[in-house]
Formats: sequence, C-alpha cells, structure tokens
Amino acid sequence: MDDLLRDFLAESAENLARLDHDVVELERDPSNTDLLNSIFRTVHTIKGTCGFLGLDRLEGVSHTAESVLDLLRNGTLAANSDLISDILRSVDVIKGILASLEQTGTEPRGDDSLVIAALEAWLTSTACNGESGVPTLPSVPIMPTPATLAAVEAGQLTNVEQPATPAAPSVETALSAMNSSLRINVAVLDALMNLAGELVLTRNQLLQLSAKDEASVYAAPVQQLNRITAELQSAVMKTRMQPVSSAWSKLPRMVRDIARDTGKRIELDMKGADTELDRQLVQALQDPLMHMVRNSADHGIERPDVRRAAGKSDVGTIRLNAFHEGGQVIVEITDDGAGIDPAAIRRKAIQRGLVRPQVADGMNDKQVLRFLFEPGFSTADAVTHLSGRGVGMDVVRDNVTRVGGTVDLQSSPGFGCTVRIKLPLTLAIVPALLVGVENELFAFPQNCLVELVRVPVENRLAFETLQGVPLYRLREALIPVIDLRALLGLTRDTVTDVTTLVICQAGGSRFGVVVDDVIDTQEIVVKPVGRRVRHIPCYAGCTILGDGRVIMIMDPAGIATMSGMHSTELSPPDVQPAPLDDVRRDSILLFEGGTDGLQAVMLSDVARLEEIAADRIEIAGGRHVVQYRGSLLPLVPASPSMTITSGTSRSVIVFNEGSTSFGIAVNAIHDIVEDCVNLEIAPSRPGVLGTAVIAGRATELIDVSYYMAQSRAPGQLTA
Amino acid sequence: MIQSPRGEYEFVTFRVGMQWFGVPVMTVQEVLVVQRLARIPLAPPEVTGVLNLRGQLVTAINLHKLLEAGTRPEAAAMNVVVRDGDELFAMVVDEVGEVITVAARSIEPLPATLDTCWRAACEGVVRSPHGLLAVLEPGRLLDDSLNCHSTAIKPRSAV
Repeated sequence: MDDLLRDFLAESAENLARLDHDVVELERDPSNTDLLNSIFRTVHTIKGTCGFLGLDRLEGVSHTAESVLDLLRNGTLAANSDLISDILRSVDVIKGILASLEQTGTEPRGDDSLVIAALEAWLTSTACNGESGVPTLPSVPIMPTPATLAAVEAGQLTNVEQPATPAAPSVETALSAMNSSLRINVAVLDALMNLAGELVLTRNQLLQLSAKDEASVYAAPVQQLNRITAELQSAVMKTRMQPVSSAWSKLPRMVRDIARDTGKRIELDMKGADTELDRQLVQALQDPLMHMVRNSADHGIERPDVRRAAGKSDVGTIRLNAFHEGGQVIVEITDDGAGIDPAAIRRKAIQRGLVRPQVADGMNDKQVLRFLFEPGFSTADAVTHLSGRGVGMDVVRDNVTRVGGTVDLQSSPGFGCTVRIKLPLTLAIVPALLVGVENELFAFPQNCLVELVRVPVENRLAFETLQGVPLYRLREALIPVIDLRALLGLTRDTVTDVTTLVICQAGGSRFGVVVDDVIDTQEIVVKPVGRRVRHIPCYAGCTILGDGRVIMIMDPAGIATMSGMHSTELSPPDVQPAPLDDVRRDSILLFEGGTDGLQAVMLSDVARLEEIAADRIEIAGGRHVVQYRGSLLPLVPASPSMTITSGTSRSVIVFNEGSTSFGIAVNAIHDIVEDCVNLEIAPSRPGVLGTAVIAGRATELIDVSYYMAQSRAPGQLTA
Repeated sequence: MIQSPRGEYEFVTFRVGMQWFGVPVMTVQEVLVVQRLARIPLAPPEVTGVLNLRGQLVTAINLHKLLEAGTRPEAAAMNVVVRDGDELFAMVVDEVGEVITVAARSIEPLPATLDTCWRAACEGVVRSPHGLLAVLEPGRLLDDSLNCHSTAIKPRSAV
C-alpha cells in the first residue's frame, strides 16, 4: 500500500468516527450550520481525495452524498429522519469500502446503485420542487415549511427530539484542538511508556543506594532525578490517555437505529465525555458499553404507549456518565426503562440449577441480580419479556474484569436500571501489595483486594472445612480459602504462627488467599510474562522491584479459576449498589458494641481490626491493655456495661493517633458498608455523635475522640 | 539464517552435556555468567525462571530439559541470550566456545534418523574441532509447539 493511500485511510478513519455522531446530532438540531458544514467538509475531503487516487466506487457514493449535503447546506432541503437515514447508509457504504481498502489495498467490487438512487431521489425531489419523488417517505413535503416541522412534532419521525436544542458546542473547539495536536504512532508511545517504566526502576535502585549514605555528593542530584522521573512518568502516561468519548462515539448512531427499528423514542444523554483513561482501557470499554447500551435501548426502554400507560414520558432516556473517583474511572449506564424483575431472575436461576430454592429465597434482590452475569444466563429461552437483558452480560463482566475493573448492576423494576463499571486509570503502573510465601515474593494488584485479615494461631478455629474445602468465617459470611503455597506447589519449610488472609474479589466471587507475610505496598510496572509461562492462569504479569529482583504479579481471577471456583453460591459478594445520586458515600464499619442496635465508625479512622484472645488481655495502670506489636495497647470497652475479658476472644478496633494507638473492644464486627451518613438524631449519651440510617438500619455513630480520651484517663481497675 | 557477504556463516558455539551446538551469531545478543534467577512456580520444566537483564525480562530456558538431553546443567553454567521476536530468552548451557566461521556448502543436512524434536529445532550439521556441531535456529528451538517431552504430548492448557 502506498503512503498516499495510507495517509488517506488514517485521515478518513478519524473523520468518519466523528461523522456518525455529527449526522445523528444534525437530526436533533437541523438548523446547526456549523455541524452541517463540518459534515460537508468531511465528505467533500473524501470525495476529493478518492478522485485523485482513482477510487471510483468511493467517489460515486461520496459525490452523491456531498450533493445532498450541499442542498441541506444551502437550505433547499431540510433534514428529516429519512433523509438522515439515507445519508447514514451512504456513510456505512463509505466505511465498508474504506475498511476493505485498508485490508486489501484495493477497492472492493460491489453495487452501490441502491444507495445512490436513494440519495438521488432527494436531489430530484427538489428539482421537482417538492413533488413526491422520494422513495422512502413520499408523504412528507421536502421544503422546510412549517408543515414539515408539524409532521416532525407529530411523531412521524420517530426519534427527533425538540428541534430547538442548542447547537452542539464542540465543533469549533474541536477544530482549534486539532491544530495543536499531532498524530503519533501508538508503537512510539508504547516504547516511550516502557522506557519511562525502566527509568522508574533505575531511579528506585539509585534511591536505595543513596539512602544508605545521606552525606553523599550524589544525594542532591539523585533527589532531582527522582522528581524529574516522576514528572516524566506522569507526562508520558498522559500521552496514552484518551477521552472516554472515543469509546462511545458509535453509540448515538446505534441508539438512533434501534429506536427507529423498534418504534421507540430514546434520548441518549452523555456526560463526562472528556474523562480520560488509558488507551488500552478505552478499547476494553468499547464492546461492553455497546452491549449494555444496546440492552438498555432494546430491552430496557419500553415503547411509547407502554411508557405512557406506566405514567412515564414517551421519550426514554439512556444516560451515560463518566467520572473520576478515588483514582478510578467510573462509567455508569442508566436507563429509565422497565428495569429487571428480580423474581423472574430468581425463578430462572432455580430452574437452571444455579442455586437451591432455599438459598435463593434467602438472597436479597442485589444478590439475585448477580445471576445475570452467569455465562449464558437468560438468553433465547428468556423468562419474561424483561429478561433477555442477560445476553452476554458474562462477556461484559469478563471484558471488564480482565482489565482489573468491576461491573455492578442495580435495578428497580418499573423505574429502570443502572450498570456501573469501575476501571483503573491505567494498566501500565498499578499499586500492588507485596506478600511473602515460602521466602518468595508475589504481588497482588490492589484493585482486586478487599481487605487483609490477620489470623493468629489461637484463632485457627475460624477456619472450617466443608467436603475438604477450607472456609473462613469472615464476619457473617463463609468464604472459600485458597492456600497460595499449595496452589503454587511450594513446599512448606517455614512455620508461621500468624496466618494472613488476603481477601480478594475477582469476577463474582470473594475468597481468601493464605500467605505468610504482608511485606509492603508499591507502585509496580506491569510487564507481560514470557510466552512459555503465559498459559498459567494465576499470573497477571511480572515486575522488577527496586532492588532488581523479578517477582510475579498474581491474577486473583486466575487463582479463582485454577481453584475451580465459579461465582459460588456460598459467597454472594456484597458489592454495594451504585448510588443513584451524586451524594458522597463513605466506607463505614458496623459493629455490635454491647448497646441495643448497631454502632458505626468511619472506616477511614480505623487502623486495623484484631481478634485478641481473652487471656492476653491484662490489667496495667488500672486499665485493660494488651501487648501488641511490641508495645502496650490500651483497650476501652465500647459500652460501659461490657466485661472485656469475658469469652475466649475479643474483637478490637485499633485506632492510631499520632504515634500512640488504642483499641475499642466490641462484641462483634458486623460488616463494612458504603453509605452516606446523615446524622438525624442528636447524641443521647457521651461517646456518640448521633444516630443515622446506615444500610437501612438505625445506627449510632461513635465519637472516636471520646474513646481516645478514655484510653488516656487514669484507670480504676484492680488486677 | 543470515549469510555473510562471502557466502559464509558464523556460529556461536556452546556445549550442552556432551553435545556441541551452534547458533547464528546475529541471533545472539550477549553471553552472561549465571544470574540471579526468579523462580516461576508452576512453569514448565524447561523454564528455570526469569532474570532481569538491565530492566528487560529474560526467560531462562534449560536446554538440557528442552532437548531431553538426559543430563543436568553443570555448576559453571552460562547463559546465551537470544532474541526471538520481541522476547528475550537465556539458553542455559554448560560451556560457551569460540565463534566459528563455516562455508555455506559445508553445512550438511540432518541425518534422517535423528529424533523428530531435534530435527524440528536444528538446521543442519557442521564438522567442527569439537566434533559434529548441531546448528540450532533459536526461533524454531524456542517455538512453543516444539515438544521434546515424549510423555508430554498433551496440550499445554491441560496444566
């Protein structure tokens, strides 16, 4: 393929991606001349260049399309749904020819006479001054008369929105942005990224060396290098960032076509289009997004008459919302359609043998919806007209989890459905937890980790087995436990008296991985594993540590697969539903503190959770203390009536305040939930900030500073 | 294989057990003494681990195991680092010899009776001061489909 053709293809690909969007936008806003000019320019450029390159088919189609667009531009024709459809069809033909050109280097054979004839009919229709020469919609007059607009309003044109929507703001800004940008081969960017990664590693080594000798003359330049490397790294990362809108440029066209085919009226509302994430992730997002928006448009949004009967507006809305939150990118797809009936899903799951009826009855709706992500769930043999939405949801989840993201679905029957996708910002550098097993180090990507649990030897009773499968009782739930040592075939030659469970969330399951030590958290550069070991599912990659050591990065999803784990019914993961509003949510630790009802504390205030054997609790200086990590940890009961030393062990919430720590002894740790805290009832007694509804229950939020003061107060206990 | 302008080939020679091998000099990136290796649990037997070569990851391949030589690497093993595609491999060998230059016509075809695995990995045979030298093509030697383990014909995914 010669360079001229290659340049032409690259340029056309960029323009065409925008063209679909622009043409659909034009349908909403036919009077937008900027938009029309932009469309005309794109088609005109293609026509001009292909004439030059001798591409006859392409020239024929684009020439006719250009002529029609010209009439639109000078006001002879008015945009309507059928005209737009014909233009879109010609755009499809152009795309098809270009795709084939890219593969074979020559123009494919084919007959475009239908498309051209349809477009020419619009040309002749104006020549006859509005006579019915138009094949697709003969009854509508062509001139932009008030009658046309009336016809539009009357709903003849299925999904034309209010014609007076403001002009699309992006055209002009997009043009000026183009002037200051440069087209770069992705391979060059990837190479830059790799080099930046290497530099980070070398910098880490230098930092370690210079840390040993602070008086070294190299100390200052190394610090400087450190700073510049960090800046370089973030700048290079930025080059790989793409706005999320590049993943959803095809959606307006798709929604429009579905709406037209099904006789629905759908508005697609897209927010946060300029939210940026890594190129690779934008690509990974594309198919799942298409899938879910298609589901929403096809199955979620009801027909206008059904909507009217349900007291909703005729026009259904699908809202895409992308935003950054806590170092991750969230993409939400919300529709105001019929939603999904959990009862139907529950029936279907029982029928398919995914769950026993008794268990299904005990599951809440949120857990039931999770079955939609089971492979092949609710396909052609759909239970109700509302299902069928499960089609390919397992594929969606697989695509998203493969890049370290999560999918969560929430539905309120009758009111619609929200799917929430959480993605990391980048795949190249990830925060990871380093763990030790049998003197080997492994890294776990942080985005799959839920929490860490230390299990001292005296608490081994918390491990149970069922049919030889080890399980751990984590608060209220039994979760499967996988011993990393056994999984990796490492022989045991160290005996530790503390086991650490790394609680992972992968796909639909939550499980604990047994490791010997937790070493550190680090930002690591992910490198692919060699092809000879690529078939081992439990590795996500490998990385080089600051000291030059190579360690493997574990893939929790792969670990789950290797252990033969499917989304087990024993551990319905309790991922919290997406918030419907923009209210900020906090992680809250719920516990039973010896008073009536639950008590809560902000998880961000908590340092650790411990189970402490009752016989380790001593009395010193008139208060309860426990030897903890080489010092004495004062313990304060959550309620005055509690006897700290009763029972065999005691759950303790550990708080750090500066260099000192203290623990609040509680009866049981209940759960960690995400919710927004609105204190509704004023404090009833000291130590309580107030009462709020958290996770649907009235809960007292405790005042940590009160307990801290107590831990320092002179004690009155006697041994 | 790349031929020199004078119709000659250059090979880096090395020994695995009793057998000497040659690889085209252009495919060899460097020769290293034994490096600190990171073990990869569950890796196939011929993969001894992965090493860090100035920030690049290199998969170390035990040629004794890969070629089913029935011997084990000697204590003073060396790494011959070759590039195949965009991946680096370190072939763990017992001894690295000199670079030899041979005329194109002196490369003889493989004997028909040779083991199929060796036939797949080797290009030909050359007479050398060390005796017969088997000429290896790293790309073919390191191809995933090459399988010298007579007992392990089942697909990799079965692991």
